[in-house]
Amino acid sequence: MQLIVNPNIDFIGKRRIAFYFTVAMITLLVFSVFFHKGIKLGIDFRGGTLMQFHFERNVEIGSVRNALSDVGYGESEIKHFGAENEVLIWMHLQPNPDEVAETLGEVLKTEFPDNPYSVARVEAVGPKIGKELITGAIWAVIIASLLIIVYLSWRFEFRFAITALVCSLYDITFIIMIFSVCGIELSLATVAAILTILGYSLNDTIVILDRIRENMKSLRKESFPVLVNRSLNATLARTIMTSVTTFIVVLILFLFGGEVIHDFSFALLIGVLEGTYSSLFVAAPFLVVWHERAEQRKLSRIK
Amino acid sequence: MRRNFKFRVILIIAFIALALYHLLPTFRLQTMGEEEKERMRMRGELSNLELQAIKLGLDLQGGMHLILEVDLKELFNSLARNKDPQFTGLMDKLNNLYLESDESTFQAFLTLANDENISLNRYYGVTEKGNEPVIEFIREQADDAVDKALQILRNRIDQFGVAEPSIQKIGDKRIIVELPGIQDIGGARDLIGKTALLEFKLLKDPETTTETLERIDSYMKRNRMAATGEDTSQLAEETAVRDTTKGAAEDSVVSLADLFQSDSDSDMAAGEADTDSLLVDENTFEENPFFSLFRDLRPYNREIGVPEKNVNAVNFILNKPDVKRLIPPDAEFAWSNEPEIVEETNYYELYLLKKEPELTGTVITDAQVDIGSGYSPTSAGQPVVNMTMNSEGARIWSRVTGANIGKKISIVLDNKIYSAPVVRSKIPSGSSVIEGIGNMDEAKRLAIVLRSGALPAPVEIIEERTVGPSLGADSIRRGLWSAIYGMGIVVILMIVYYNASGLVANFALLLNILFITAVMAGFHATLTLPGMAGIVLTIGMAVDANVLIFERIREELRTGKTVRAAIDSGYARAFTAILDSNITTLLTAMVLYQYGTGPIRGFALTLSIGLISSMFTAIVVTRVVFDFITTRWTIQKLSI
Repeated sequence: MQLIVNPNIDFIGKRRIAFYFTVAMITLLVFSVFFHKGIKLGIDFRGGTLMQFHFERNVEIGSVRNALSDVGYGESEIKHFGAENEVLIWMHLQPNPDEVAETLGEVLKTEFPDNPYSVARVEAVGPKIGKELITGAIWAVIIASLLIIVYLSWRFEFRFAITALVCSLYDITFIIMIFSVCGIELSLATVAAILTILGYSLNDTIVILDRIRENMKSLRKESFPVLVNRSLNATLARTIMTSVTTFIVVLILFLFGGEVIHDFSFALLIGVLEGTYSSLFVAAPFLVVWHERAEQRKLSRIK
Repeated sequence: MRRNFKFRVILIIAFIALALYHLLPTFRLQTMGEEEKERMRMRGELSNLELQAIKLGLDLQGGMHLILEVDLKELFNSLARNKDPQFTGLMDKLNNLYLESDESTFQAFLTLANDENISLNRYYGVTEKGNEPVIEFIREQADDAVDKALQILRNRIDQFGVAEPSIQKIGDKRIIVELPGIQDIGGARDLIGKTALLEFKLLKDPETTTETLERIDSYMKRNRMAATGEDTSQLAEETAVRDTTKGAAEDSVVSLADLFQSDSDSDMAAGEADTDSLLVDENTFEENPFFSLFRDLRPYNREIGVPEKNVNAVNFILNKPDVKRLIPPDAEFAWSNEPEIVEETNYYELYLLKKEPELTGTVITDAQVDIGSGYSPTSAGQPVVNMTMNSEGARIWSRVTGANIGKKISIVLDNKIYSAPVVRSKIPSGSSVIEGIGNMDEAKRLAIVLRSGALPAPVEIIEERTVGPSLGADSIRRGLWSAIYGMGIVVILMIVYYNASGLVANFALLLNILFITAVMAGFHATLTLPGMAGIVLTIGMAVDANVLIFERIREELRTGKTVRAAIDSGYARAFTAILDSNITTLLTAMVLYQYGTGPIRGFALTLSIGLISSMFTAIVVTRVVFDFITTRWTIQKLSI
């Protein structure tokens, strides 16, 4: 079965539209971020104590909060985690997590006498570690980007490397803003997802760049924009096929992987779509525009 | 071509065989029954087998993950000798600073000392002039301390009996402890966090004790008068609780503010929770505000007791700089470890001790748990820890007990008094008993830490992650099912879209999974939940290499090439794309591995292995299959 045979979509010709669309999305997202009060940090970065209680039957958040207020923890963040019988409680760092857990346990037992529970998970992160993880995350992104520029400059040309970098920056910004809009916390796992999406999007972009590189040798007569367009069309079948398979696989992870990696798989889901989009509509047009500007500068120098 | 073909086939078969071999232990472990596992454990063979299998991360098997850091400020304190008020003043100032990193702690200490023109040399025994060499000395000691702590923690955890614990130093100052499958989380935390500094300290004589308390009492009365300008004080009762004890004390409930008769915020600033309701003796409240917080427990065979509610207030008072000056410089106050229950109220006892210990825990050679015999009314039937000392310790102990018959000597662990028995006779044998332990579990842990030795400085738990076993098992199940469903769909998709060639791609996919799991088993790498997600992701991305090749082949076929030629140029042309794209993804995976911890590392690992393996299977394995098919049979039309 072949879905796409010899497509001839004018990607480059329509790049203006893509550009406006991209800008519109970004603006929308920026507004949403402000509306949602910025980016939410998870426990890994802001520190604190997190406890997950697994109850046998569903529990109402309100009643949990009441119970907690009695012992002075009413100000903690309390929410469901996936199902309504899983409760997640976040509070500022406690010096004696054991005692706190015990107190909470007693209180919960009194409040819900016929709903037994178990402690599924406890995480406590000190403020020092939180700061270090943030710096680490930023460094990771910077170093990854640098490595990639170096590698691509060596294998391709410098402008290809910058194209890839610009595409990646766009990817990261987009993803983080989507996190904010969807209320996903930044945690170790979600940062890992961001880096993964970076890698995947680059993967995609490079396949296209590779084809452009190849065509530059064989289609010397064509103008650059036409050449890029041809390359995009030629790789379209592969781009779609790979995106579809990866998307389906991540979708399965999202549906069946469980709560613990829920945010992670959701991030990957968005990332796969976004990565494909950015390769076709951000990277390629950028390269063309760069080329055109370079050509214009050459012409003006001749004059 | 022929010879090359044979070589490649042999290579592939070799890899497959190697992979299967490495996976055998994991397979055996999973299918082995519990009985056989026990039998192997007895023979000591089980751990060998486990080391060759895939290791499950904490998030999959449940367990505890801790990151510990040596408390530098406390280290400064414990390394110092001949501490005088000047030094304690310096330490106080240091403790009040909020310092972000270790470097700044050293810097701050140096700056503080230099600012006050304090020479640190005599506190640390450094002969070289100036404070900088002292800081250098402390720095070295800090490094040593971390290594020593590592060793001691290993000893403790070994005795705790956890399967495959992991204790490692990261960076300069931190230790990671991982305890898979542990059940007693609180106990483990206690065992690890306990500094276990054992000291034997003499009690100050009763006269000095009373004098000091009286001095504090007068001070408080003076302050109160200063605040109100009047001699009479007001009893502000929140609720009047009449609680008659055997003595003459009548209780009222007051607040800390009332105790001080002060509105000033600075007094209250340090007051944390529980200063709202203090139990004071109404009779003595006016005349002796400090004493009113205490109760005379001598009718109960104890000393002075403080009701639990008042402990924070008493500490608050004792920590005030003015009050500290009233305490003799060679003495310090300390609390009992466990409360005494008298008439349904919890009382903690307060003692005034000589600061310098007569003996420390370094002389203890052994510590064993036992049930107290009937000799002492306080320990009959209670868990106790019997300690034996080395010869030097025994000698000193003999001298100390001999010289202090009739006096009380306290056994202090981490600044909490476990017991303060009267020395009845000289003890020549170097034996001693710790009583006053809450329960048997605590006694066992106490024995462990005493045997392993005291930590050179307190460790702080700066990160802790614990996963219960059921959550872990749940995660495994979900991960496995995701992988299976993912594989299923991709397999179908490949066949639908690429027909028979899809089968070839699927074969490559299966090999991928085999290789990934085999490599992990071979290196005893840790599989985490994100790691399983990485495998699932690899299933999707591994297909990519094949897709690149197949699409290229289709293209070449469209230009009219023969089957063989199309396959050849398809592989050739697609190669650069596969190489460059996979290497960049690999670079990000490697950065992720460096930056990430635990579970994230697991993800980066499986992703990296998956990418490399998928390159191999796509380029070599599928090619071999195609070559085989096209040389064996002449294919007119390729099913792709």
